[in-house]
Amino acid sequence: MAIVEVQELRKVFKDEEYNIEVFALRGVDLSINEGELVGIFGPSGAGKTTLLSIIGGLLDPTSGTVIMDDTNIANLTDKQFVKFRREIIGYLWQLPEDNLIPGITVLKNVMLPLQITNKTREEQRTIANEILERVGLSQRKDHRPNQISGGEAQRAAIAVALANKPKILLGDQITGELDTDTSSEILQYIRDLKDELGTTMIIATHKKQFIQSTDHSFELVDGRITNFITNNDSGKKNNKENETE
Amino acid sequence: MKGSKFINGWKIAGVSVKSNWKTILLTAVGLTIAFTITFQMVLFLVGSKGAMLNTFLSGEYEDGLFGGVFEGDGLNLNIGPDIEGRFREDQLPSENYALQVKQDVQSIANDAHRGRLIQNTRVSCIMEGYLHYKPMLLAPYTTRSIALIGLSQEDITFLQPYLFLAQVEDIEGNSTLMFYLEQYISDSIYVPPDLKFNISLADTDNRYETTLADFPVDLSTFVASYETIFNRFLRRFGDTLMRTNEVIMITTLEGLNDILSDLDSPFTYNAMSYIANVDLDYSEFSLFSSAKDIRDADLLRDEIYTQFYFDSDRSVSFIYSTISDNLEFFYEEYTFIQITVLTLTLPPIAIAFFMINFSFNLVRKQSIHQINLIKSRGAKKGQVAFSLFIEMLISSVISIVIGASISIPLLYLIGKTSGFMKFTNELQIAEYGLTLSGKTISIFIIVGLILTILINLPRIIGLSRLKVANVAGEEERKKPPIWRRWYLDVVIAVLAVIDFILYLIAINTFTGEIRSTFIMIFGATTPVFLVVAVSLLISRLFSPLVKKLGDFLWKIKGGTFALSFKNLSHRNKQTSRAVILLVITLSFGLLSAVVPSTIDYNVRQRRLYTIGADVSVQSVSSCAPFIQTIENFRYVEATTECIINNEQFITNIGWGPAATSVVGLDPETFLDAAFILKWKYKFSDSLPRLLNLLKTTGNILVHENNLKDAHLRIGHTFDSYTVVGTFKYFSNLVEGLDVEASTLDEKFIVGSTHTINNFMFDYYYPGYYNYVLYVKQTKKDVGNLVRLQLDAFQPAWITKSVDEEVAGDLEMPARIAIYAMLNSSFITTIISIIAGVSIYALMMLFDRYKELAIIRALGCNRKEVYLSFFYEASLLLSIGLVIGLPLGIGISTIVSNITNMIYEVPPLVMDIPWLALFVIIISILVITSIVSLIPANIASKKEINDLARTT
Repeated sequence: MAIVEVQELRKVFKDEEYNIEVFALRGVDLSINEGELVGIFGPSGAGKTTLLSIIGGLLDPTSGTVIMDDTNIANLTDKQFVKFRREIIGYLWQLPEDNLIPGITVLKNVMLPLQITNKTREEQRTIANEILERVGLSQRKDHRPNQISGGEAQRAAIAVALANKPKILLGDQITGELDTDTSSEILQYIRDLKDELGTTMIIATHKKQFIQSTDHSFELVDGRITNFITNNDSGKKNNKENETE
Repeated sequence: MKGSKFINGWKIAGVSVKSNWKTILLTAVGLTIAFTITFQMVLFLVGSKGAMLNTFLSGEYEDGLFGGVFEGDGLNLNIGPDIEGRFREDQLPSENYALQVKQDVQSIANDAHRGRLIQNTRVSCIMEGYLHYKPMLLAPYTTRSIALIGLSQEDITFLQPYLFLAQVEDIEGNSTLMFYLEQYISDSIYVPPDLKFNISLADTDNRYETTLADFPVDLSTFVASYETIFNRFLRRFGDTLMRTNEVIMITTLEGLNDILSDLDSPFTYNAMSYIANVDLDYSEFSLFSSAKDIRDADLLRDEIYTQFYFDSDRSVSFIYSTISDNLEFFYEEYTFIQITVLTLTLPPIAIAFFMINFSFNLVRKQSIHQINLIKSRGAKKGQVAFSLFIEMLISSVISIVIGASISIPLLYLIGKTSGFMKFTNELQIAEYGLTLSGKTISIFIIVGLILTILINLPRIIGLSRLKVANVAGEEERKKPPIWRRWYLDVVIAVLAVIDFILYLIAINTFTGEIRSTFIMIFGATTPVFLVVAVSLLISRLFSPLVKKLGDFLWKIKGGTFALSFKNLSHRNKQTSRAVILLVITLSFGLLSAVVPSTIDYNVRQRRLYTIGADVSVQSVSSCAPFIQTIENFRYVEATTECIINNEQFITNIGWGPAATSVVGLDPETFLDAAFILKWKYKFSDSLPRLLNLLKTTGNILVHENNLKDAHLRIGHTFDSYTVVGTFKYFSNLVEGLDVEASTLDEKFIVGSTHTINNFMFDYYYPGYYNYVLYVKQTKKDVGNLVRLQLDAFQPAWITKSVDEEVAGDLEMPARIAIYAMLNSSFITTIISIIAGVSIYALMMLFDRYKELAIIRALGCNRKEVYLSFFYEASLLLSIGLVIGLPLGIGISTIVSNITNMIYEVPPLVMDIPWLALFVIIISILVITSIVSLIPANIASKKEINDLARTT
């Protein structure tokens, strides 16, 4: 059953000062089923971030619709959007400083979304500790973001994004800043968490190695989907093969 | 299970505060500046009100707060008891009667249930007796003896220091009467019977004769203390003492009884009456309820009138109040000062707001990023707003505390203002509000909270309403602001230029009221347009210009210097704002320095000009003994004799208007003593040459407009007089307002004394004109000494000393108030400049850790990092100085002209305190350089790895 349905999505950026129009998306259609790990591939400037931003409700499309969990997000009120962000969507960005608040510990960062959704103190602690253990950061939970490595920071970010157990996780270039080994490690965590929590994950990346890890992949070039790849279970296997190499 | 929203709200806020401490700190710096300025303004207004009220109550207000405002207008205020009633008893005086009157008046005030001004009314009674001297001793005079009855301890305390001596001049001004106020009034108001009354009189020969006095008169003390004592007494006892041709004696009831029981002595008894003086409680006088206070006082007077006037037992002769008119006048002037002070404070407040806006904008990117992050995790508007509110609260509390602790000492300093950046040891404004009392603290808190909310609320609302955007992605490119799209900056710049041209036309073409109105309109709007236009143009042009310059430098020789140009253009928003801040603060700093300095300078110029010399002595009668007297005076270095005639009834001499004013001078000695010097004060292009021509009898100078109006030329001869030159200004001739207009109705002629004597003989009925002696002052205070010397022999002569007149002009409470505010503004603008550069440098540091890491990794050494910070701050300052200095001086010139526009003579001379400005600019450069080096120091000491990881 499709949890995300995108139809005829277009986005044009206009620069009033210089009177320039940039066509970021030129009619994108895609359908993503619940519990799938979906990759969106493409070179820089292909429109990956724009597409994710529109799906996540961070950006208004110029035309087209996004239906998520049976709801046309264009029709959501501000209040409904807050609920939507609390329950349906988790965001994961490329840079650690975009995901984590500096100056507070990793644990507190994970507890923040739980505070926002008004969980009790015990719940905040339990859930945060649980998920941090799940991403292998129990030992580093009392460190601040600038005291941990890039890979650890990104794992912490996954923990933050998944703290409220969203139905969909949107990840934008999440391994963009990491080396190959760390990237693979992160992808493995994503894959495992998807299986474990049943979260639908949409990850934009330009790293081809990631194609194997996904259930489906879309290739985006110049604002259009040019290729669709289905991997079924091969992703996991291929990924493991990569690791052993 | 749901957790507590409240606790979680606080926790989110806590996270926000913890990660945003730099933002909070920066905001606090901006806010502190704003608070410091505003606190000062509020406390100053409260304090200056107290000081001005003191001026009013002590009677020094007589000339108006601005000094001389009422001069010649017949509007001198009567000061005296607020309400005064006169009661008469048909029998011999009894203290009981007076006390009863006092009690009755007091109870009317107590029952009035009006403002506290009335509730705390004080009533005192005076018994006044008229005594006639026996004719053989002192023929024409009446003595009035005043017994003070039922005085409170407060009255006694008030009176005691002043019960020494005072003076009243009679109406005709040709004899002086003295009255002594007994020094020994004790608490019980009892005068020992063996103490003689000190009565001094001036007889018809103008010589002091001491009849019963037993101490000598010290003339200098007398002159110095006369006005203060006199005014204080007038305020307290009003026109009871304002009598002429009477010797007034102040004594106690016992003293009066002594006199009455001894009627065989020089006195004879005449009549007695009681005067009830009602004083309102001015300590409760409120700034905000003056209208009501005045109305209340009027009503109290009416009530006293109604209750006493129809009471046949009381024999009330009149009930009079001076309060309403006086207060209305006072408040009119005071309101004007308030408005002036507020207007002067607005620019620094605007600067403070800009500072805050500047700090907010420096941290805006970080704030938005953080809010987006929290919002993307599902935070509601309310949760975001609460976090921002807590941040606001913390920064505000820091700022209120620091602002308050800076404000009070600063205000103490400012309270001691005596001129631009000149301070005395004495506090010129009331201490009220300066000490940390409950009232002051509540002012701080209330004003602080209002400001905080005013400043922060729009920001909090704006930020919490922000649509959550892609945290990692670039912000969608915003439309450029409307002024940029519509080129409003260029439009305003054009308007400023047109405005300025119109202003120049108004100054040079129009005359009279039209001139003043146009100068006012164009002069007031031009600086505003100029500042706005310059700010917007900087915003538009700064970045591309600096970028081009940076590219150019980079091409010639790359290096730290070229890199700092690139850095400036790269952060165009912050840097252009920093430059605007510098330009505005510098312009205003200059304005607050140049305008008062110019006004001071021109106050002296004007006095010098109108008086004509350091000291001028004028006599209406015989000349010879007068000159002898003054020439013998040992301080007088040079004197010159002039004849001045300002009469307007000279026979028509054949050209131009009939009315003619003349000055006759001695061409040989004139330049020695008179103030006119060709190289410094351009009254004439070639005065020595013209004076030389005047040595020939019959040669005269005329006003250049007279010559023009009559279509004459130099060399024109009429009867036996030849016009040998012209002048535009001449002391004692064209000293009034509106030269241009007056020359249409009047001729102005200057010649040698001999020529002018002949001239007067030819065209004017024989001789009543003024002889004036110009005296050069070689030592300060010669004017005062000359006056004392002359007063002792010829009190009718009028002595004017420039120093004294200028001191009088400069000591006006209103002027002190305005100068104090300008000093405050000036100091605050300097603080703003230093803070602005520091904030910028610090913010750049926070913002640039990563960039610095890259630069260092690329091979920049620590010294170069150091230098790049230093260059950037110096560049900003230099650009600010290059634009701000000329702008500030231009604006100052325009504003000085407005303040001076009612005086057309002499022409305004700008006085720019270059030395002070130089010192101040150098200090700013040094301080900001040091401040900018702090972040440079931090940055250069950090390891590359740390820099890269610091967020």
